[in-house]
Amino acid sequence: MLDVKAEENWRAYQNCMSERCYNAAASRLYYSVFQVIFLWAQKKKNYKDNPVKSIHAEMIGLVNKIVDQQEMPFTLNDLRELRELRRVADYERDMLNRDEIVRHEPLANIMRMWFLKEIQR
Amino acid sequence: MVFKGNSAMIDYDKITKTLVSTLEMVFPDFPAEVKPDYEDELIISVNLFAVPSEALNEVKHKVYSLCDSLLEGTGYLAGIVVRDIERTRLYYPEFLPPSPPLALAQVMFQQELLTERGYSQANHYMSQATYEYAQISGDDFAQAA
Repeated sequence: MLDVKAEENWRAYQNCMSERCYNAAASRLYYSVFQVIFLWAQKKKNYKDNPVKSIHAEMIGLVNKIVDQQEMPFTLNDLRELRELRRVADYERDMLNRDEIVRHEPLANIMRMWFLKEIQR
Repeated sequence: MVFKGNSAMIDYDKITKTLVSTLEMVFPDFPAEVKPDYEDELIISVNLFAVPSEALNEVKHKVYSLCDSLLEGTGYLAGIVVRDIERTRLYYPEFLPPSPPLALAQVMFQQELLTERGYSQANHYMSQATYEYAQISGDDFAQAA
């Protein structure tokens, strides 16, 4: 189901961009990637819930391990930047603009597709 | 990047103080803020402000590198946002460093060095501060970083 939710977030991201809702778009863009990574962690890395409230750091840590092991079409910092974009969008005072979001879109899509393919392997 | 997520936890206050003091030392012109993440206990939010837009990427890479090496083995991960001067001015004016003329005027007032002419000069600096701040070259900041 998480892959369905990730796809839903990807479509919501596109809709938010069309509606010029850039902060909501950044949040949806991040979750369209995060949920695929979370599913990958559960299915391929046997990830179990951790009592510490740290799901985002945990996912980044897991991705870090594979980035260390093999050549990837994205870097770990691409994921970290996407997560911080979402932190700004959801919690910080500043308003995001279109250019800031669009800059992250290609790599977010690459990450999303890469993890989806890994899940299906 | 060295975060593994399960390392032994090290004193949080000590880590954040080290992050702040190191950022202040390496980037003396860019105010830094270090605070807990809003929703993830293992992420420390690191904000750097008033960076010239031309130097943004370079400074960001240095902050990543610096924070990752400082946090290595602590169990914590830095979540980094670097904001340019315009964004800082718009949304976080309290993090705008005083412009060089304003800083000078403040020192002159504080040290009571003002003759009649000096008072007039200091007032002039303070009234021009915003304008002068905008004139600072991005190269100056990039070199400082």
